[in-house]
Amino acid sequence: MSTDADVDASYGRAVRRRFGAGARIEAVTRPTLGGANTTVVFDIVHGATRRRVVSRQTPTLIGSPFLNGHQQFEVMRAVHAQGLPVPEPLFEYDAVDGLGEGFVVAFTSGETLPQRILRSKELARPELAGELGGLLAQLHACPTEPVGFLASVADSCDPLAAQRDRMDIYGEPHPAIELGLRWLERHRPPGTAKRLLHGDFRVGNLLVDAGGVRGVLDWECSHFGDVHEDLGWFCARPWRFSRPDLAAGGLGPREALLDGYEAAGGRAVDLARVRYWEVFALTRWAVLNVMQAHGHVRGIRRGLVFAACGRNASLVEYDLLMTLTGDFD
Amino acid sequence: MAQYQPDLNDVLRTVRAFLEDVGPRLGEGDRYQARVATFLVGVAERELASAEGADRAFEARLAGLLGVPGDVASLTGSLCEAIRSGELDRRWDETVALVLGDVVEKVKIVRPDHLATKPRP
Repeated sequence: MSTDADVDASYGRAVRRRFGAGARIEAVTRPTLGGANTTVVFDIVHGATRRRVVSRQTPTLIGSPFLNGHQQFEVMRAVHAQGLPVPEPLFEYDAVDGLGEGFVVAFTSGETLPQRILRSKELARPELAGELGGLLAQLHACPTEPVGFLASVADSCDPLAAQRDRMDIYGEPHPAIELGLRWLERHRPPGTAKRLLHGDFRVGNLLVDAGGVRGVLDWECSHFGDVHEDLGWFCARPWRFSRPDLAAGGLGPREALLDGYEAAGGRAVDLARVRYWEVFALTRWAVLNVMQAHGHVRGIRRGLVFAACGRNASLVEYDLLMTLTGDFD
Repeated sequence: MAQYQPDLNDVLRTVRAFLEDVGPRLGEGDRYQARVATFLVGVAERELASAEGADRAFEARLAGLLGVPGDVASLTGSLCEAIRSGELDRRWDETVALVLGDVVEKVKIVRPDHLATKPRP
């Protein structure tokens, strides 16, 4: 197993290959974020220039629903080019670097822990939910051609079938998830034009400071689909934390998000569709928790957080069924 | 085989107390991991203390809904198939109530605080 020092030397070589023989890395830190990705933060120093960057190594796991590192980098490049607040994509690792799949983006400061954002009056300003709606409208207006490869992602083709197929791979029977999928199948809304979606747009995947959103992170679930899918995902109960009464991510009512969306030029939003995709979000979030447990028990990547995800699936299923019965809004 | 004291509940409680004590002194990443570890030991304690009767009752209700005998594992698989095929569409409310009842039992072990103030029967 390679030590941190060995890996740091590899980062140094990767940086010299791109920034010249005089370039070096300094001030390496390794934030513990959990998940399968390895995230390291360091400075790239060359000449009089010093730039703090974030390195993400993104191993591709079997049965993983996530985009690989190269695809994530392409999506970030495309949305960055459209002026969205995304950490600037700098370069991808290649075979010569010996670091596997991954990429380096500019470091962006801001708070990312959702509970800390929601507790802070400075960060969770009353306008934030509307601004996030505006941000989604901007994302959904991005041209899809530069990321045409997303059309073949399972979630772009049929988001319900994608979840069902994953459950069949994981092999653990979950009647609550089946009820969610069956309800979604029976209430499937008519198709709409498919737009570029983030796929995991929630407060926990944003970098926020007092001025607003500085960066939208974690593009590994990006795909094409109904814009209401992103809006419903944001409103799903697990992301409301201690304020389940505030559907828009614990920040405000649904209308705050949706008004901001429409005001920023997003297409007219159908509230019933948002609620449909909230049920989808609960179902998909339960499936993702089952996936983490599957990876843990099969020894693909073990860990406390993955073990906890398996048990937490029941909490999400509870929210899902209470939503289906109308007990939860 | 009977073991000397402390019993398993006590062993788990002791491990959890240690994790709760040491957790706040750790760095940010390890502190988070310690919180998750504390949570998992708590799950184990509650699971150990829970009555096994709930599983039997669920088995009987499942067999009643599906009209076939079997153990929980095989009946749960059959239930999933029946939901997916649409076979239970006409008994939707009954099916949701049965599954919700089972999920509530799971949540009582995993994180009882998560249940709404007035859980459905």
